[in-house]
Amino acid sequence: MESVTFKNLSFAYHEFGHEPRTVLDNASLVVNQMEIVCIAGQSGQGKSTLLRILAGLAQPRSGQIFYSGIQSNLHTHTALNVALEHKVAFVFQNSALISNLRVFDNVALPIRYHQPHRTDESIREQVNGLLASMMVEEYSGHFPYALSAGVLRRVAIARALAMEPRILLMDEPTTGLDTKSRRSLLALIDNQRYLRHATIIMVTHDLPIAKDLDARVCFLHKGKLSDPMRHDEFLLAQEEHIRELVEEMDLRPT
Amino acid sequence: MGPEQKEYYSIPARILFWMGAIWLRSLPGKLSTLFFKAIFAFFTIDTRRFRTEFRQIILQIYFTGIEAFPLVGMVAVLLGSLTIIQAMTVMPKVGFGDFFGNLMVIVIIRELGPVLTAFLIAGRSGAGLAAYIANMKVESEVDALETMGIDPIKYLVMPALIGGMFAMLIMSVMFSTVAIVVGFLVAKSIIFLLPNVFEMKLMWGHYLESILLGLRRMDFLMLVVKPVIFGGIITANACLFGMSVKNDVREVPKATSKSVVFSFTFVVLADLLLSMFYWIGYLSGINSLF
Repeated sequence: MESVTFKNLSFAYHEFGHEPRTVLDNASLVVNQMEIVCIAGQSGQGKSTLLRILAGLAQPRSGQIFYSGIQSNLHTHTALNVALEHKVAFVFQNSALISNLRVFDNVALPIRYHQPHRTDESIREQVNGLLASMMVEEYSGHFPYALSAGVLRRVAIARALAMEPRILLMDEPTTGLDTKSRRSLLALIDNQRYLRHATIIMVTHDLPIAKDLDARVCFLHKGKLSDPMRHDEFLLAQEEHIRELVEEMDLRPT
Repeated sequence: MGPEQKEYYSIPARILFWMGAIWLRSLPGKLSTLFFKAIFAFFTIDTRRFRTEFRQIILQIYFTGIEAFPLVGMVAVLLGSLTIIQAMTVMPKVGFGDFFGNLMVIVIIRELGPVLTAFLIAGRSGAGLAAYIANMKVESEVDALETMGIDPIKYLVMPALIGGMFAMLIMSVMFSTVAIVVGFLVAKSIIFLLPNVFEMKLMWGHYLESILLGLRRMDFLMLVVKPVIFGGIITANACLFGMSVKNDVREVPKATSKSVVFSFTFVVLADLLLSMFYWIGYLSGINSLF
């Protein structure tokens, strides 16, 4: 079953005094439910922009976006509408936790806001459960400034899951994490996919994720989005930009 | 489907359209749009969610008002005592000793009280609020709110605006009260300590009577209206410039200083308009109000 589909998406940055810079040129993709799709590419190719468009944080110049088969109207394609109508959650690269709220309140915020009928007891139970599933329950009373990047990333994922999303968008979830934290974070993400039947689209430079999470990878280069490929497919790809990325990650079997 | 038909609008409709477009892009247009959006958000609060938003309003009142009180109080005492001493020494010499109360009412209650409080609040709390929201923008926290389906106007701007207006009202009334009461005590102490410099008598009963005689009914209305409008201007400015920051940390100080500068300008402009309204009302003879 299709979860996220976009067709012919185009986007360009307009900067005063410069030529418009095209970052997406007729990009199309179909992502199925419970699938994990990674978007990879060199820096500055517009991967995060594509993710921001899917979250409604940026508006495409042209194209169509469907969430669970329902088309989003590009005139009202805002993050608020996308989050409320299509149950899309976003995990930012810098975690973007609200700085004056403790970890517990950060995770409880979407629940308190969207389910005002809930009692404090049931909210506490759910938030503690989410924090425990991300293995950060011991930090629930801390403010974000006192926490490490890995913990913040997990709290941000817990906050996104508190919205009970159908689609989870993640911007470089494993950047800056050590091997152990990365492995445990990927296991948690994989677990959540089956537990909540969520579709996950993530931007990453970390190509081994494709193997670890059995994900398909699309490569974005000069505005063009490649067809999704499995791990063994992109290792044998002939395109120069994909080969460069694979060699950088030292993934090719010797 | 047939070929697309181009829509034609009459010339007055086009002129109106362009005027509207220019207004919405101008600073007063943006400011008033944000102001009315926040007011609309306040009157359409989901009452079941009121606890979350009420907490934000209380925090804003605490930040804008209560934390600023020592600063506002200190300036009020200094201004109050200064005005009393100047008025008591100069006015009787030029034969206007009987108008001492009127002067206190004009200087402290009608003009300087609300305006100076607004300046202090704009410099302290307005700048703080603008920097806070601008930082939230840079750190993608505002985007994060939107991706959680939480409207930043409802979560950030509305509590700041309502809290700011309420705090400004309290602060302004406190400023006038402190300036008149504590200012009197300080002036009395100075006169007591330096009897040879200030050869005059300052009696509480005479002082209070003179001020109460100088008050008009309209002053009580202005005591409420002015701070509320100034509070709205300061917080709407802070929120507008804070929210206008893109993802660049260099824009934070620019947004903060712009917020303060425009707050000062709009507060003085609003004060001028309100004073004009006051005197037009007075001169046109609506005596029941004065």
